[in-house]
Amino acid sequence: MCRDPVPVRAHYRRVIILPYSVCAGRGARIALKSAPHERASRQSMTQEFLLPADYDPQALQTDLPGGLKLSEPTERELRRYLLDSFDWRLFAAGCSLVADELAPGYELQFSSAGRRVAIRMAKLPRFAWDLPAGILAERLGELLEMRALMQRVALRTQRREWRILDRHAKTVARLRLESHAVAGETDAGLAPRLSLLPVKGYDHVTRRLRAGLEAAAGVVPAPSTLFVAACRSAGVQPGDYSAKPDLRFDPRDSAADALRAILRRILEVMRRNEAGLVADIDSEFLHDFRVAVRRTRSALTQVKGVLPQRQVEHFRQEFAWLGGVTGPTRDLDVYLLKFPVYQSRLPREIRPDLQPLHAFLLRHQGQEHRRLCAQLAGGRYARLMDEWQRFLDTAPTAQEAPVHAARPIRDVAAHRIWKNYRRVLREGLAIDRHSPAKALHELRKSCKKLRYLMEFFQSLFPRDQVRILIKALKRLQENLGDFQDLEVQVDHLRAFGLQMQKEQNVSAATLMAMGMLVERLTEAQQLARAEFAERFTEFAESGNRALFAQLFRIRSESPA
Amino acid sequence: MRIFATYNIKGGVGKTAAAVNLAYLSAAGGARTLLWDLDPQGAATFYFRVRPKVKGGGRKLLIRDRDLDNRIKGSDFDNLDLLPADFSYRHMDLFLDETKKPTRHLKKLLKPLSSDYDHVFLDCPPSISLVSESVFHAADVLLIPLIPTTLSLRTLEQLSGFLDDRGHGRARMMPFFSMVDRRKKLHRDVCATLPEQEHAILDSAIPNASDVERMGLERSPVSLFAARSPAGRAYASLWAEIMELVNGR
Repeated sequence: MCRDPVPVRAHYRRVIILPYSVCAGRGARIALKSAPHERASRQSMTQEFLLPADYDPQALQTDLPGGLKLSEPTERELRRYLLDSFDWRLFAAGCSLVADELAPGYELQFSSAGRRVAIRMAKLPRFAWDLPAGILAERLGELLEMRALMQRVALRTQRREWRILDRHAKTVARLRLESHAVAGETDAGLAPRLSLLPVKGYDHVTRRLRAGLEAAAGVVPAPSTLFVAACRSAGVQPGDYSAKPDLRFDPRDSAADALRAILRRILEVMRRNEAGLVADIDSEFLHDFRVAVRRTRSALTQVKGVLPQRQVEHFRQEFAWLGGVTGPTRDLDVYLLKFPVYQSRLPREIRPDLQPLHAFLLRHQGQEHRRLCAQLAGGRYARLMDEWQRFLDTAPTAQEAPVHAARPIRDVAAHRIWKNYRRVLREGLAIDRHSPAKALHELRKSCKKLRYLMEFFQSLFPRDQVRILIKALKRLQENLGDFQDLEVQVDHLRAFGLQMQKEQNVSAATLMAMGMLVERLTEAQQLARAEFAERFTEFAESGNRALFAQLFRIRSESPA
Repeated sequence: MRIFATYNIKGGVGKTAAAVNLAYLSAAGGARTLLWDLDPQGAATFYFRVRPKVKGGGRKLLIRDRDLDNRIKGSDFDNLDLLPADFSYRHMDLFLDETKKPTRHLKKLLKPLSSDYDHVFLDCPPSISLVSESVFHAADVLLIPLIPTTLSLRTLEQLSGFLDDRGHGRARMMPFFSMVDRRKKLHRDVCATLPEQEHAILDSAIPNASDVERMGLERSPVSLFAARSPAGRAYASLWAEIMELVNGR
């Protein structure tokens, strides 16, 4: 999963979820590491057709090109699962992963750019690293990273399959007639589909079969993939989750309305992640949940004078509590995710010595997770969610409206972003080689606040320009994040070492391996520190400064 | 991408049967697998019911457009593709000789496929020639079927000496007994004594079974039509042993 010598931070950032309309049918264009021929040859792609009710595929027999014939059909009934991550990473990349339940085990079929890779497994894989090493595991690893595969739709499938044979009885194409029903639903729902599965190197046969099918009365190419049609039939919307509060505003909207809309959207993200967080499906439910909590806190404290102060103060405290109780589990999740990187930093022969640390992390992650679930099941959390929802849904009364509530959101947003940008510059410029780690930590927090504000309100400003600045900020944040994370890791690893000694018999070899790891991480941290000056200079360069000023400085404010 | 080559200087030792069955087992295990039939006789190609012909002939493939992918045919099995033999492969030495670095040429041709296949099997014609040298250079693993006779050891020593002389030492030799006839005392004796010698001979041995011969009639791998026969089981155990060795467990 993690080959990078620098900490994994960069690895577990979100993928961009494309809107559904952009994704449909784009498989041919977006393929991971696809060779040129994959992109070029469309005829090698599986073709699907919808059929009239009375269609008899045996009719194909008479239309087959010379020397070809249909085999006897095989029939089977099976359960089929459409797999993807919670945030639809495979779908967003134009790929699909289908698992057919066979008598023992499963057949997994991964399709990308019309290419199919099939593999049999005894159990459904939960993560990419559950697959046997190979191209499929690599591609899924790149797409899914640390996200788990989930059964997004389950189907009952009735399949008839014919092989198209040449005169040596070699299979040169396959035809599958399948009817599907969403499991647990009585109505048939999905129209039967005929799929033409090409065999590599027999494109001329595929072309002629396709022409024959297209000419048959009532047969139409399927307008959407089975995946999409099945999701629709099951009431599931692929690509329906994004953790980003990417809302569109009118610059003249009142600041109070816009801010409430943002906070409502963030709350929705929190609530959608609750179930997966409690079930501990993968680490990212909690991660997205925590980012939503941080965004909420940032919006509450950074956008001043828009929401009633008394309530803001109350919610600020409650969300700070929520950030606190979710912290320990996330820390342990991160160490578990980083474990392969930790191992790779050590000489090969020492790597096994680190294994007891993994067991320790796993055990404590379980404990902390149970503790967290207990908090989320408790009254304080329920009350907070309830009060917060109600607060966001009710408009403030005129007499309690604070000073900026009625101002256009664009002005308020520009003002806050500009102020935060100035602060980032000020703090960053004050840092030199002798500054303490704390100064970088403070700068990191300021950068996060600036980033959230820019993301909340990006629709109010020219999109391409805001993107340039967010990208520049992101690069700086990566450096600060690496530095800070490494510092925390070093501290924690020391503490873990002591705790492991208290809890169990831990071998000297393990403690030595951990010591060596701490040393390596300290070196990496020093590298990150050395790189800071350069990264900050890049961020603070005059072009970015001018762009920040152009977008966010309001005329009445004097240049500092 | 890992490249396996089945090779023996002698013909008729079960080389092609090994290539076909091991490639089938590799694919059935979920690895994207390509079998390149380099033998102009085209026996492997025949087993897969594919026409022994490549578009434009061998010279065009090797020298002019060098595009292997364009000539690959899907087999009847998931994850298993075939690059067919062509009768013109009998002149492959001459084609290779036209290139700048003949012994490195096959490796170079295969390179663009590295993101498409996990395993490539090269089924080589017998004899020592430029073709086999190019195969030695490309292969990560040399699978060497040996009929258990006293000459086998000599063959093996010759080959290993040749590999060392020519600097092809990178490929890992994995000899195994093939066409073993338990009724013959000589076979029993050689099987019992040879493994103790210098060259680590794999534990799995392929019996001389009529099922292997039936591959020609069935035109299909033993591992498919008679998976539970002694020969079918022997290939499965051979493949498992090879995978264990290459994965270093």
